[in-house]
Amino acid sequence: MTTSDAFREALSALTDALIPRAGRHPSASDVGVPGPLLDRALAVVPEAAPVVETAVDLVLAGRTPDEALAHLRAESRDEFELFAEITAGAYFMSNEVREVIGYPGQPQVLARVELETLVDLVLPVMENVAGPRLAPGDGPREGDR
Amino acid sequence: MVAPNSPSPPTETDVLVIGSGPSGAVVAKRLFDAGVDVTVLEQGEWTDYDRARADTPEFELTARREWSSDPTQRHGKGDFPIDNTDSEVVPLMWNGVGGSSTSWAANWMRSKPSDFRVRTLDGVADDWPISYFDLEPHFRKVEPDFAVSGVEGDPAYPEGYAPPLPPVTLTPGGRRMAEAHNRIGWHWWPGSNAISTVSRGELNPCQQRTACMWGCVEGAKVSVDLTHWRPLVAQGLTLVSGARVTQIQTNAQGHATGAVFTDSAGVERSIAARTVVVAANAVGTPRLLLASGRDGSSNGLANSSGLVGRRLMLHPTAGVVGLFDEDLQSYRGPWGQMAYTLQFYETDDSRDFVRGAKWSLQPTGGPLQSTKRWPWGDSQFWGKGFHAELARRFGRSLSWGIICEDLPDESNRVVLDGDNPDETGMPGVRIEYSTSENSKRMLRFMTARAVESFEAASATRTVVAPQVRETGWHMLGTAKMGEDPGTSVVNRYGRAHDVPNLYVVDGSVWPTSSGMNPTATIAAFASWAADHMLEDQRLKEVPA
Repeated sequence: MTTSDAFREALSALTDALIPRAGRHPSASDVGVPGPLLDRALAVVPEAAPVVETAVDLVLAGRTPDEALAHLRAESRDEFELFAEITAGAYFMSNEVREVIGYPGQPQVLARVELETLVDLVLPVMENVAGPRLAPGDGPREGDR
Repeated sequence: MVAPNSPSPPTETDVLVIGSGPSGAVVAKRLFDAGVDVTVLEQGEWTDYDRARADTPEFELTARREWSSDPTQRHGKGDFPIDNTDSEVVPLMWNGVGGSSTSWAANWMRSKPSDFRVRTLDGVADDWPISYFDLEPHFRKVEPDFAVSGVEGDPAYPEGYAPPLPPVTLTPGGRRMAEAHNRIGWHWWPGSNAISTVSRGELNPCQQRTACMWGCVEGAKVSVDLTHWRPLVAQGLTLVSGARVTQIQTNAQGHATGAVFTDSAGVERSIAARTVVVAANAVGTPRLLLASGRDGSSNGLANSSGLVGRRLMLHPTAGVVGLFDEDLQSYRGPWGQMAYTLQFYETDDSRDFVRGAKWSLQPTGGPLQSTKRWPWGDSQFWGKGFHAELARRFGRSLSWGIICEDLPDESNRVVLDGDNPDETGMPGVRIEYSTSENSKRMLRFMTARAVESFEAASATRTVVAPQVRETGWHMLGTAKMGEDPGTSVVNRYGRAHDVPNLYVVDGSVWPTSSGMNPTATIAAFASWAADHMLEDQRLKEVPA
């Protein structure tokens, strides 16, 4: 993807229009989305590169970022959503963002729960005579193996 | 993980199994373990789990792309043309070694006894020619192989159903919903999943990467390439990948004699077999049977009933999300199901529909998933409201996935599409499917109840996910089982009425769809059918 200053500046404005700075939450450009993070995202979603260029071209042609996004959305919702996805996908790869929103990724956390921790929860289900049981005649039929 | 080398295909075998999903795996294992000479042909390739990315920051961007269940989007080596423009629901499948167990969510739900007796109980559709109690020993046979984890004692099932492994974690969100359902007297039960919670054979214990459908990096979620095919191949079973079967061959007496297939190099070959077993799912199986018509018959093979391809059932599906003030860490948990409810599973005469639905409680994924149109709808939250709305959704939401029983309708069908052949020249398929009025009423009812469920758990907001077409994970019904050859394709053991040494063992044979994730009952039926094959003298007969 081209790396001219004008391109990157337009891209920064576009991504910040989607994900602005607010309080302790950084904007997309604050964490480098228009740079290495987007490059990483595009490495795994290369089909998004054309829509990024389309969006940037709209800004370079004179539209404001909000106008460019609105135009993109009106012309093709799928293209708008792909641009939003690649922007957000890059944003959420930022360690700084993950720290702010409290997302540790998908680390290993053993999933097994011991049965005794469930007893108090499942007993009411077992004792609920009004709950779903077998339908009438659902027991074994003569001749069933 | 290195894929086994695909062997040179033999020219003859005792039993040819076409398709390597769960049903093909169960049959092949049972027969191979009994000393039968088995050859498996699979059109797709082995999955490269080194491409699973749940342990990388790129995970969410890649998950629904590389691991997409939609063959028309994925364009994998085993995929074939499917025209779904006339279908309200898009069939989803994985055409590779392991079949759709590669991409499934591993919910393990036995059909209930009533699911086999819908005609008797509710006056609609058909009864199965077999019962839950016929299959019950086979559920118990296959569940250890599928590493089924869960909790014994669900009162909605007959006594004796005991998942062999301890359950996956209920999670804080699961506990929240369990307590709510206990307060309002609604059924729920800890999730039963084909997800290992211990080290077992090829499997490792689940580590809640929450990537069940998108490449389990831990090797905990069951897919039969791991649990069945790798060990079987290591023991000497012949599985040929990249082998697209284009025709089942028959002789003048109407017996199957083998199959023609195109190998991974594009060379057409044939293999002779005493028995042919088709396990290619409810889209792939009718495709092959219809394409195998003798002397170019447009009616196809084993189709004197005219039902091959018809009665396609796809389980109408809905999603409802509940949002909570508390941080439930709902980016983590089995996906899979943390819990399920059968509160509205059986017919209730007070409602305007028959049959019912099963709901599974699921996580809602990472931050990127919190921005998607599904399940969140088309809300305009980019820009000024982005961070506030993300904070409301991410980690603080739970989802009910609702699966409705789909009644059979002969106009819902899989037909050959000669205008869109695959690279071998074999016709693709066209799907014709409409959602019934019964299903629409059921979906409305279920989503309203799911909202009530979340409100009982003090959800601050609920979101009913938009209806989307890409929900056809459960494909059933297109080679119906029955005792009458005039109204069914196969008998109670999956044997074709018209071709005595041809079996169908996948979900194609289901007379009704239940409201359950079907893999458990598909696997149990495959076990039942395999045991019958072992007793069947035709395994020993040489085709004339």
